[in-house]
Amino acid sequence: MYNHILYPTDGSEAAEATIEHIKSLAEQYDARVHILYVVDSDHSESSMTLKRDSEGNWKTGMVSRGLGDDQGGMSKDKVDVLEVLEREGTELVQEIAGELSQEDGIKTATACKRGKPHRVICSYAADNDIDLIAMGTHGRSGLSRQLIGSVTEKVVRTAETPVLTVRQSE
Amino acid sequence: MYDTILYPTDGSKGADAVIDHARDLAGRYDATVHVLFVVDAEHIESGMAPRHGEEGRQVTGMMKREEELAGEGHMSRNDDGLFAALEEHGHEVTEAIAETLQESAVEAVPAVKEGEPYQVITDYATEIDADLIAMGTHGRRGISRQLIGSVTEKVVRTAETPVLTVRLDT
Repeated sequence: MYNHILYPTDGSEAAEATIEHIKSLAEQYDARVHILYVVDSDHSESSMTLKRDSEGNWKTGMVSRGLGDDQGGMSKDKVDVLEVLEREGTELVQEIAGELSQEDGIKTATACKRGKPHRVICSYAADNDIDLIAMGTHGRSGLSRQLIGSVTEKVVRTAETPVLTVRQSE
Repeated sequence: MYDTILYPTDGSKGADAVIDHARDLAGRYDATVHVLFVVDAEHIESGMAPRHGEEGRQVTGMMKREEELAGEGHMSRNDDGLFAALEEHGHEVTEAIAETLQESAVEAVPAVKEGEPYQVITDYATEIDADLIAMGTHGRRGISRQLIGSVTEKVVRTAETPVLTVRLDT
């Protein structure tokens, strides 16, 4: 039933509960666990960028779309931000894979990709014969607060692949 | 990891894949599957009713205006006959699914409850100490997603219990 399990992660510390499910299922079904980190290229391009502050120091920060004055020469720096995120993402997935394979003897695969997270997750699942996507959801209470669509909710809505969502305890 | 699995169903078609997942997991983990049907009192008011399908099987659907006129004239929450019919439909649906699970040597318990579906499902999951809720979900396709899929989405958002969502075949 589950030969390939996809674990998309953004590196949140609270993903422990999800990992427990993945370990158990991978052992039970002798499945390979694919660990995927998505560099949100849209997010990075539209709002995350490097700029100089009033003292002339470079800093990384959120920049709203309206503030376009000093973005003329930013493209090179934006690429750098993506590269940094990509390097960090690659390190993260390799670290998780190392733990799973060394401590639990679980077969793994890793990937770090750019794009819109839910789309990358769904297309990775389709392209790699994934049988199950296991993801954490943030522990928010009250229905009205939760109408903000999270990546997990978008994946639940759009993936053809079954999705296991695990509440992250706060 | 999974001793108690909750499988909520509204009796809609295309749920075989969901049942397959519940069955397989229950078999592997030696879990009991609770099959739950929720009689939605709100839908009784708005005209949701069980009726006989083309093959003479009971199906749940929106009542057409002429059927309403030909029938009781108007429906209300106090329509005991309609409520009882929905409840009976729930028993039929859950008992039939429980039987097919039992045929695969999986312990299964049917249950019928009344109330707001997502609320009843999450409450019942807590009540039986479920380790997993396995539910069907519709794709992003027109109105059916909004009507039926939304129950699954609300459960994903609010349940403390992990949720496995499986795309229904439509």
